[in-house]
This record gives sequence, structure tokens and C-alpha cells, in this order.
Amino acid sequence: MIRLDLVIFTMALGVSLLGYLPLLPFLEPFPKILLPLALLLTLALHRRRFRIDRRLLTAGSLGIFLFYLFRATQSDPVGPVVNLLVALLGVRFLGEQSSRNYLQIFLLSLFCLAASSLYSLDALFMLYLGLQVVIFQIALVLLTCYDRDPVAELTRERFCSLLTIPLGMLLLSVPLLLCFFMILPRTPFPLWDFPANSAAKKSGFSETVQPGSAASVGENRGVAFRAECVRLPPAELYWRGITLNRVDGTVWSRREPPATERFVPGRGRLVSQRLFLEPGSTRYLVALDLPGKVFALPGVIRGGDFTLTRRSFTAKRSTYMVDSVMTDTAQGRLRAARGFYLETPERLHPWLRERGLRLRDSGGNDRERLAAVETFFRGEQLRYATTGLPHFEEPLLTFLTSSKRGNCEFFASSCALLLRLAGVPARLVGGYLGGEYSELGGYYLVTQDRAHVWVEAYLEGTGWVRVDPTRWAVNAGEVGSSAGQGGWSLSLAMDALTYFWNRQVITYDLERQIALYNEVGQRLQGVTLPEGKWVLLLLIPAIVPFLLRWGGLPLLRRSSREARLVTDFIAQLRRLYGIEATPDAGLREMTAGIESPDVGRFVELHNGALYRDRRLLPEELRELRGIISRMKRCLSPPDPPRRTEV
Amino acid sequence: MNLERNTQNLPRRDELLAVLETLTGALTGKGRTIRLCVTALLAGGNILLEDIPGLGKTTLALALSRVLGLTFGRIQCTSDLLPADITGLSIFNRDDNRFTFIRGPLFNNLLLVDEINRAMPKSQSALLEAMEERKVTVEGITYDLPSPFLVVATQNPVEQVGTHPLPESQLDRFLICTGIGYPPEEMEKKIIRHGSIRGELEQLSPVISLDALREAQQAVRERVFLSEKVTEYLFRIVAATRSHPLISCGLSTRAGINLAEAARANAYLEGREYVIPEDVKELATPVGAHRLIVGADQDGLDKEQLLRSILREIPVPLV
Repeated sequence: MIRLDLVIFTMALGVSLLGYLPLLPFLEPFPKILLPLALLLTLALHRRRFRIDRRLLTAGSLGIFLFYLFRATQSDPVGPVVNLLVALLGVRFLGEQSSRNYLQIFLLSLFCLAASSLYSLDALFMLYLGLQVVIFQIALVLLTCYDRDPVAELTRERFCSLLTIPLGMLLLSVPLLLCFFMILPRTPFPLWDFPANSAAKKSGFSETVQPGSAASVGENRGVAFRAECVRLPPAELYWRGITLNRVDGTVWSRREPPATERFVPGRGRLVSQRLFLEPGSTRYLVALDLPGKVFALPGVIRGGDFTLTRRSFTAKRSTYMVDSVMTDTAQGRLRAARGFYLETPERLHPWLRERGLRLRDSGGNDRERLAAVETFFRGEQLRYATTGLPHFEEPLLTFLTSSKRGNCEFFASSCALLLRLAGVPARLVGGYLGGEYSELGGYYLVTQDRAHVWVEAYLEGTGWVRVDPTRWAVNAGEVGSSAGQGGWSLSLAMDALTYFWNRQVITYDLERQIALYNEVGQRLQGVTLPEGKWVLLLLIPAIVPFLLRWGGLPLLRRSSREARLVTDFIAQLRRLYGIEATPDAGLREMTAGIESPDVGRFVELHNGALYRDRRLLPEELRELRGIISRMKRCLSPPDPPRRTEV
Repeated sequence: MNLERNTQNLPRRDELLAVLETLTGALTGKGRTIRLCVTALLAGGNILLEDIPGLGKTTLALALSRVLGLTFGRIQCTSDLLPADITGLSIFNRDDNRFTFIRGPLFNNLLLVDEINRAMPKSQSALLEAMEERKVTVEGITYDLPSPFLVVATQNPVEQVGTHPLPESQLDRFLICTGIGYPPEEMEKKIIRHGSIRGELEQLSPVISLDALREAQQAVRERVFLSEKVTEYLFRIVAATRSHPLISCGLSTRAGINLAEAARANAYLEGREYVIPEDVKELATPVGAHRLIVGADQDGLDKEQLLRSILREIPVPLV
């Protein structure tokens, strides 16, 4: 036997947790603690059937409501509402377990989950919502039974047959759901909590490079972007972002490059990528080095230095396509702009300046000087590290002469500086290196900790050549060692799920809706059905319920008035007299020993019609209904049930 | 209101209730058996009491005959009982100078056949044929048996030496087969203390006339309605016995007819114009159990329990 009240209680518990968990990071301490406490208290009290006084709870709810009412401000109207919802949910649990109360719990939980979508559009939302809707649907049906008879116990078969009703309803609602999914407008970013500040604050990618600003670089596994493309060798996975061409002290930043620059990518194969950039605060787009044309995102400018810049900043999750040429060389001539890339800070440690001059003298042309810089770096036995970084004054000098530890910023900025001092035009390129390839989704997952800075040196006669000085470290093997890894780990599978969610649901916008319509329209035009088959196609939804009915699905089995009356009567017998109906017993047998005139009259009228092969007369029907409603009003049997031995 | 109307439509019911009341008062602790006897009488069937001697079978039959105002005949079966001992025989009448037919004990309204299984099969079938046909043909002349006619046969299920157990086909001719059982403890003590009540039975006077009894029988046949739903239920019971794995031969169509008749009589006694499934259910065991033929290796099986287990499987039509 299955106790209905326990089932509903468990469902209420589950549903409220599903509403509470997604809101957890955004709640104030009071509701955050109140709900779990209320749940625990209810669990503890459930057995003892002890309830807190209703008036006390109403007063409490009112107090909480007023409290949050005055907290609501124009700048933050949502926060108090969300906190209020959770707090009320907690209070509801302490109340008596009536079906009305349960319904409130279910609704509040649904509101809580809906409110969480104001803050976050996680793929888990779908899971939570799905679970909640299923439970909600089942609970609604069970609540109708619970309302009739709070202490009902159901047999397993009865319970299962009861479950078919909500599950069938859910099944029927799926086509409607899909239809709405395609039609209804949606938001690609959370309505309330602009995530712009969440990812970029700790971002590995920044618009300036300043070695020595911190002693260590924190790990940030946040997703930077995902790129859908073919799998590539790890050494080629340079995701180009911003070009930094100006050095001031130790800070590298970007300014507009001279307009005269005209470079074209060198020879290499073309790789198309579809990129999904997480919302951030940067205007710069990333793409495989060197990026070519950008599609599917208006307002993107490709600078002469291959930096992709968005004209306007948006907090949206951006999707765009880029065709990149897999090469480390950009061919062209600098001509007059050469001086622009040779500028060095005025205030510079003499050692660096002297080292630069030595390097300049070591070769006759740019290529030889670059080789000399490499030789110098390799000779210094520098180590790649993300901790114990020099962060005093003259960090570069410390890095090169004494500590010999540094991250890519140290390597790149010192390299570029020395190149400029040696008379070779150089600039920094900020972006990402490597990425995990998800076989499931066919894309690269690039996290913020893969942010990387490298150098581009201009070699007269060739053009800009990518130089990654970090690879000259003695422990260069560790740099990006995980680059290009991937395959089938659990986290990657989870990420693939998020990816599909973002791609199919969140960034599914009007443009794609229209595209879908067009596609469907074209497909349908291509389909030729013989005359009359269309009708058949339309009839299918109408036929399905009948098929289900023939299949014996109880939810669609129509019951007559008489049958409903008998069902009600048996339910009341069970409630009032504790009589269990068995299929082999007639009403007369069931009610033997009950000395209630109503019960006897019901049985007599019912049997008199049924076993004389006629339907109930209107006045009989009225009388029977009257008896049922009288029984329903009865809270307990008028006298303890007496069963005589038969 | 409904109840009163029913009673008006069921003539002579009050008198039969009075019969039941009188009998139950006289024979303490035999209420169920008495009721079954009256049911059998109303349905026009015969009854077989299967129990050990000394539990009041004869007393019951005597009391019945007295209260119903029926003539009473008794046959004590022995292995040398001849058919003529039952039906009667022709004797030469010297005064009239011709053979005169002397009616045997069969020509009574109520016939007690004691220890029927001690009689030879030849005598048994003579008796049973008479029960079925309600006619006796002796020496070419057919005599009608009196109406109403009720045979109360008894047999001892324990003693098997020197008996000729009734074949199943013969058992089928009894509408109802039931035991009597020991009376409840208190009641038995009372009976022991006061001794046999045979003498008191002499004091009982008829509470119903023969005509009234016939009218009641007719009312049971004609006034009590058997609906399609209940017929269906009854048929399901019969059909279930035929497909049961432990039963080699289920209930016959005659059994079905008898069950319907008995259910009608039961409904009549309860003052209903229609049969409800409970009537069928209540009488299924006394009417059906003794007719079941179980498989050869299931000899020890209690047929009543078997039938009750079948009844539990069959849903009662509620809508």
C-alpha cells in the first residue's frame, strides 16, 4: 500500500528544493537559512503530526512580506521579491498539510524556479524545470485524491494507474511545447543579472599586459569561448584576440595602428570556425591566428593588425563565424609605420637598453637579430611559472637577470621590448593558446586560464612573424601541455550539454526561427503526398487518444454517472468506516453491518436500478448525490463501525 | 417505500418469514440450515444433508414438515431396501377382488431419506428419478407426486463401510447440499440439559397452508427478476469452475439453473424483487460445491473452499 500523504509530502519537498537550489547563490542569508530549517523542522514534525498555529504563520508571512515590501527599491525590485518567495515557501511548509497548502507550495516553488531564470540561464534550468513540471503535474492529480481523503492509501496498481493520467497529459503537451519553443521570443541573456561582470573580472584575457602587477596568476577555469571547427594540431591553436602595440613603462596597451598597414596572411590551409563567445566586457573577438573574413555578426571591424573589434559593446553571448588561415606569417611591408613599432619607453633601465644595443649589433638584418634574441633567452635558462613572479620595480630586469621565473606576459613583453631595442619592429598579441576538444560536440572548449600572450616580430621582406618566447623557457614542455587535449571526459560531456543548450536554446533567436520556417516550408513543398493523405496526417492527433483508449488506458475511459457515484460511495465508505473495496464484493456485502440509513438507502437504490437492468431515474440520482454529499460532510462515522459476522 | 412495495409484490413472504422464525425458535443453532431448506423448498429443489448422525437432521425434517403443514414420510435406507419400499406396491384386495396400489413413503410432501448412501444403487436411482420427474410409474400406471414436494436426504460422510456413495451425476440432482455442524457451545449445553426436543415438536402447528406455499413458489419463479448483469456474473462463476486447473468437471448447466433458482428464492426471502450478486454468491457454495468433480489426485480437496476461492476471483458487477 502506498500512503498518499507521504507521496505528496515527498513531492512537495522535492519541488521546493528544485525551486530553491537554482536561487541559492542569489539569496540573502535569512531566506537561505529559513527554507532548509523549515524543511528539517517539518520532517521532524511530520511523524508527530504537530502543527504550528495557523494564525501565527499568517502573521509571520505578513511580517516577511512587509519587510521585503519596504526593501524593494527602483534599482533592485527583483531581489526582495525572490527572497520573499523563498521565505514564504519556508513558512508554507510549517503550516498544516492541507491540499490548499500543498498547492501553494508547488506554485511558490515554480515561481522560485522561474525567478532564478532572471539571474542565470544555465542549462540546468531545463532539468529543474522538467523535473518540476513532471512532479507538479503528478502532484496535481494526486492532490485531487488527497483533497477527498487525506489518509488514503493506494495499492500499487491503483497508484500506477493514477500516474498514467498526468504522464499522459505530459505526453500530449510535448508537441505543444515544441511548437511554443519555436514561436515564442526568448532572451539570450538573463534579464536581471547582467553577467558582464562575472566572467571578465577574473578574466585571463585583458586589454593590457602588465607583467609584475601581481605575484601570481590565479587559475580561472571559467569558459572563455567555444569554437566549432575541425580538430587541429595543438601547436597551431593560437587564438588571436587583441594586438598590443604601445609600451609605456612596463604596460603594454593598444592604440589604433597606422592606417597604412596592408598585410595578407601567408600560405596555409583555411579553417572555418563558428565561435561562441561567452558574455564579457571586451569588444575584441577571438579567432584562430590569422583571422580572415568574419560572418554572421554585423558591426565587426578587422584592423590592419588582424584585430577583430566590435563596433558596439553588448553583453550578449555572441556567435560568429570566421575563416582563418593557419599560418604564423602575415605578408606585407611596414614602410612608414616601422617607427610606430620601434617606440620604446623613455624611462628604461640601462641594462635593458645596453642589452638591446648588443643584440642589434649581433646581426645585420631583422632575422639574425631575432635569432640572437632567441639565443639570449635560451641562454638565460628562464623558467615558465605562474607563482613567485617578480613584482617589484623593474620586474622585467628581475625576471631576466635574477629570478628567471615568469609567465607568458614576462616572456612576451621582455622579448618584444628587446626586439624593439634591437631595432626589430615588434608587438604583443593577446589571446588564448590551446583548448580541449570535445568529441561529442565537435568543438574546442577554451577556458580563461588558457589566456596567452605572444610576440609578433616584423622581418623585412617577410612580414609579421609569430614568435612565442614562452617556448624558449627551459620547461617549455609544460606550457600549454594540455593544449589540444580532450576527448571524452565527464566534464567535457557536461560542457557539451551546456554548449548545446546555449546553441540550441539560448542563442536561438528570431533569425533562426525565420530560417527554420523557411526550411520547413521548402521541405514541405518538396514533399508530395497523394491526395487525401493530408487529412490522414491531420487525423493522427485525433486518432491517438482513441488508440490509447482501446489500449485500455484508464485516463480516457469514460465513466458513467452511475460509475462515478459508486466510486465516490466506495471512497466515502473507506474514509468513514474503513472498508476496503475488493472486486469480489458487492455493495451489499461491503456495507453489511453498517447501521446507517443513508448507506442502506444508497445500496438499495443503486442495486434496485443496476440489477433490474435499468438506469437510475433522475430523482434517484438526485437522492444518491445527496447521500454522497452528506457522507462527505461527515468527518467521522456517526458511531464506530460495527461489523456483524455474516 | 420501495421495500414495502416489494413486499406487496412478493405474496406470502410474511408467512414464510414466520416459518423461518418458528423453526429457528424451535431448533436453536440451525438457522442457516433451516434457511437453506426453505430456500430449496421455494426453489422447488431437494436438499442433501451431509453430516454425522446425531446432529438433528431428522428433527429438522420433522420440524419442517410440522411447521409447513406438510405430510411427512421417512425412508431409512439399508442395503436391502427395494424400490417398491419407496414407491409402494400393489396388493390384492380380497374384498374388491383386484389389486390395489398402496402408496409408499414417497407420496408425501416432505420425504426424509435417511442415510441415502446405504441404499443399493438400484433403489437410489428409483428415488432420484422420482425426485426429478415428480412422477412415479408403477406397473404401468403413472402417479403424480404431491406438490410441494421436498426430499431431505441425509448421508454420513465418515462411515464408508457397506455404503454405495452417490455418483456425481446423482449428486447433481440435489439443489443444495450442506452440513449441519455442531451447535454453538452454549446452545449445545442447553440442548444436552433439556434433552431431545422431539416431544416439543409435536406442539408445533402449521403456520402456512399448502396453497400459500405453492403461491410463494410461483412468486419466486415469476416475480423475482434476474438481470443480465447478475446472469453474467453467475455464468462467469460457472465458466470459471470449468476452466479451473484443479477441477476435472465443472458446474453443469443444470447447476447454473439451480443456482439462479436458489438465488431467486433467497431474494424473495429478503424481500427483494430482483436478484443481486450477493444472493448468487451466498448460495454458490451450497448449490455448487457438491457438484464439482475434482481431479483424481485432488481427492482430499475441500470443494467448498475451492469454490469460495473461485468466487474471490470473480469481480461483482458494480456498474
